[in-house]
Amino acid sequence: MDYFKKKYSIFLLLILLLSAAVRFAFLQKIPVSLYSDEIDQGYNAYSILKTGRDEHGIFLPVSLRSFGDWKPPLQTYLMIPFVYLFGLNATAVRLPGVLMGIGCTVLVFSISKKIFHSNKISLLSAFFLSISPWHILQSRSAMLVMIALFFLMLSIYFFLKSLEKKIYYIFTSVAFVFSVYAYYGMRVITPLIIIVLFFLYMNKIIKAYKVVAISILTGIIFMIPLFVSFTHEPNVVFGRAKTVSVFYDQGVKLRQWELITQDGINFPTNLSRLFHNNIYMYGKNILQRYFSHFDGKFLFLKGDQSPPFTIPDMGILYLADAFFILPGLFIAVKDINTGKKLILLILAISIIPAAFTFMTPSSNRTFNAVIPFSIFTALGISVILKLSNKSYFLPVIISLIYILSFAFFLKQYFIVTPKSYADVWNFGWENLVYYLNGHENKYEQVMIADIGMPYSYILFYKQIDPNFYQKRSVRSYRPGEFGFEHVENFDKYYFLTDFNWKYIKEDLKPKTLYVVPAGQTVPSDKNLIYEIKYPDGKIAYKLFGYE
Amino acid sequence: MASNFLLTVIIYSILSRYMFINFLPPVTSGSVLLYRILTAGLSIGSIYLVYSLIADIFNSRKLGLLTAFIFAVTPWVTEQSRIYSEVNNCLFLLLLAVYFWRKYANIYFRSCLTLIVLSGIYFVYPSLWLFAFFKPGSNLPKLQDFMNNIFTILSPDYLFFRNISFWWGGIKDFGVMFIIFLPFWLYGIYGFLIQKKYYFFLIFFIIVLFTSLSVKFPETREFFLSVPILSLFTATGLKEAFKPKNNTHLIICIIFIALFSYELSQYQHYYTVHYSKEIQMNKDKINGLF
Repeated sequence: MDYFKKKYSIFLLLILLLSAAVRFAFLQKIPVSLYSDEIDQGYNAYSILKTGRDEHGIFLPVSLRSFGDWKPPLQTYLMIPFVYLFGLNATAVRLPGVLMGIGCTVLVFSISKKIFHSNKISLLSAFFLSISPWHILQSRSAMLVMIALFFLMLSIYFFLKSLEKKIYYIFTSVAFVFSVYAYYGMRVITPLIIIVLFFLYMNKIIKAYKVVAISILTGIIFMIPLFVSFTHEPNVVFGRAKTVSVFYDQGVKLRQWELITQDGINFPTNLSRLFHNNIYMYGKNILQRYFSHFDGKFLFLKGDQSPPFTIPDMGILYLADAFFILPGLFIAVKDINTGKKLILLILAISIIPAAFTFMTPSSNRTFNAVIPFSIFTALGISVILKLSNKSYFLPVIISLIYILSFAFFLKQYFIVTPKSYADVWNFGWENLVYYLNGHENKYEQVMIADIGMPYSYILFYKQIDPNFYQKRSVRSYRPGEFGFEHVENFDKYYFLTDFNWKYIKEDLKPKTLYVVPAGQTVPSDKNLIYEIKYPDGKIAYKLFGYE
Repeated sequence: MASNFLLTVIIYSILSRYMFINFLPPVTSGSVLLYRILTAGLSIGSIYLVYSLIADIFNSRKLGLLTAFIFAVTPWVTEQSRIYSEVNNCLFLLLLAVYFWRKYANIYFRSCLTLIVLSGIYFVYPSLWLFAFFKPGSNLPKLQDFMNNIFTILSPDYLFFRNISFWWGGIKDFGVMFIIFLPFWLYGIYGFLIQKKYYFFLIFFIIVLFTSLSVKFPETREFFLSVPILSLFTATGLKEAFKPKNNTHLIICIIFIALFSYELSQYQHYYTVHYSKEIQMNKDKINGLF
C-alpha cells in the first residue's frame, strides 16, 4: 500500500469531505428539534450578544446558570458569532459542534500520525471517527461534550508538538484550560490527563522547565475568571455534578439500610459496619458503573438508552467494530510504547467522571472514549489486513460490512429517529410558537405544561428581547425533583410544573389558552382549537382556548 | 509444599461446601439432602480434577494449584456446590472425561471410557437445552436475542458484579468471579494471547455460544462449564503478577491478599445471612430440586 505514503493527503481530504457531508446534511431539521440544552445555550448566546448578559442578567458569565445546572460556557460563547451571522436558529446553534466535529477528524489523524508514524493507521483512525455513530450524533447536536473533546484533542496534539518545539507548551496549556470551560467532566479528566502526560514524558517536560513554567502561568491566568466566580458562587464549579452524583441517588443508601436491617439487632454492630460500610458499597457501585461502559450491549447493540442519545437498534459503535477493537487493543498492549500508553490511559480516564453519576452507562459523559475506540478499530483492521497479505478478499468484505453498517446508521439516524423519537427531542414547542404568533392576541394568558423547559423555546423562537426577559421573568430558583430550576412565568406565559389537566379544567380562566400534553386529555374535552403532532402523526399537545 | 497447599484447598472446599449444608441455603420443597451432599462431593472432585489437568497440560503444579484455588473460592462455584446443581455435576463428568482421555494412552480404552462418562451427562443434566432441542415445539432464540445473550455473558456486570443466571435461587449481588480477580483475569488472557494458546479461547467461546443459544437465557447455567477456564486465566495472571521483583510488587501482593480476604469474607457473610434470608422469602418461586 505504498500509495498511502504518496497520496495520503487526497485520502484525508476525502475523509474530511465525508465527515463534513454527514455532519452538515439537514442540520436545521435533524435532529428533529432543538433539545432543551441546545435551545437554552442558543438563547443565552443571543442574550449575551445583545446585552452582554445571560438570561439571568449575569454579565459575561463564567458559568451559565441556565436551568440551575450551571453549564460551562464555552459552547455558548462559540455560538455568538454564528448567531450574529445567521440569526437565532438551529443551524447557528449547532454549527460550532459540527465544525469542531470535523476538526476532530483532522486532529485524530494528526495525533495518530505522531504516535504510530503510519499514514495507514492515521487515515483509518480519521475515517472511523468520521463515520462513528457516536461522534456524528454528538457533532450534530449542541451538546457540550463535542467542544470539550475538540479542545482535549487539540491540547494533546499541541503537547505532542511541544516535544519537538517547546513554544507549543503554551498552546497546550491554553487548550487544556478551554476544555475545562467546555464541559463539567473535563474538570476531572483534564487534570488526570495532565498528570498522565507528566509521568509519561517527565524527562522532556523537566528539560523544558522554563517554557513549562510560563505555560502553567498562562493556564492559571486563563483560569482566573473561573476561580473568581467560584469564590462568589461555588455552583460555578460543582453545579450539576451534585444532582447527578451517585452520592445524590438514594439507591445505595437504601440497599445499605436493607442489609443492615437483615443482619438483625443481635449481629455485632462493628461487623455489620465492616461489611456494609459506605466505602465498600459506594466503591463497588462506582466500579460497577465504570465497567458498565465496556458492556458489549451498550457499545454494539443497544447503545445509550438515555434520551436524546438513543439511536434505535444500534450501539454507539458499529457491531463490526467488536471484531476489530479487541485485536487493536491487544496489539496496542503487546507493542506498547509511550504513545500507545497515552491512548490507553485516555480511554481509562474518559470513563471516570461517568462512573460517579447514577445514570450509567452514559455515552455523553464518556464521549472522549470515542477517540481511543476509533484508533483501536483502525489498529485492529490494520493488523487483520496484514494477515490477508496481498489478497483483496478480506478488504472487500470489511468494506462491504462497513458500507452496510453506515447505510443502516444513516437510515436509523436520518429517517427513523426523527419520525419515531421526536418526543425525546422535545418536538412540538417550535410548532407551538408558530401557532402563538398567529393566534395569541386573543388571549391574556397562555398556560403551558412545563415539560422540557418550554419557556426557553418561546424565548428562542419568538426571539424575545433579552433586556425585557431579564427584568420580567419570574422564577423561584427552587430546584425541582431532578434538581432543575423552572421559570414560573414571563409576560403572558405561565409554566406549570405540576400540570394536571384533570383538575385544571374544572376551574378554567377566561381569555386563557391552555397547552396540554395529549396524554392528559380525554375525547370529551371541550374547546379544542389546535393539535400539535409528532412527525409520526401522534398528538403531542392539545390547545384549548377560552375567550 | 505444593501438596500442603492442595490439601489446604481441599480442606477449605470440604468445609465451605459441607458446613451446614442441611439448612444453608434453606431447604425448599424440592430439596433432597442426599443430592446436595452428592453435588458438594462432585464439586470437590472437580477441584481436584482442575488441579490435575492444569498441572498436567501446562506441566506446572503451581499453575494447577492456583487454578484449583481460584476455582474453589469462585462465588458461583461455591453457590452451585451447596445446592442440587445439574451443571455442577455435568462439569465433573466433563472434567473426568478429559482426565481419562489424557491419562490413558490406549486410544480404544480411553475412547470408551470417555464416551461412557460423557453419556452420563444425559442423566445428570437432563434439562440441558440441547436435549430438549430435538423434541417437537422447541426452538432457538432470535438472532437479536442471541447477540444480546452473548454480550450479556461477556459483560463485566455478569462476570464480576451481578450473576443473574438463577434469579430466585442464586446470589445476584456477586458476579461469577470476585472483582479483585479482574486485573489478573485480563493479564492472564493477555498472557495466553501472547503465547498463542488459542484453543482455550476456542473452548470458552464455544461454551459462550452454546449458552447463548438457550431460549431460557439468562435462567440457564451452561456458562458454568467455562468457570475452570476463567479460573485458569485468572491463575495465569496471578502467577505472573506474584513474582515479587521489588518492594512495589510486594506491596501489590499484600494489597491483593488483603482485598481478596475482605471480598471473600463479604461473600461468606452475604451467603450465610442475606442469601439465606432471600431464599427463605422466595422459597415458593424456586422450582425443581434445590
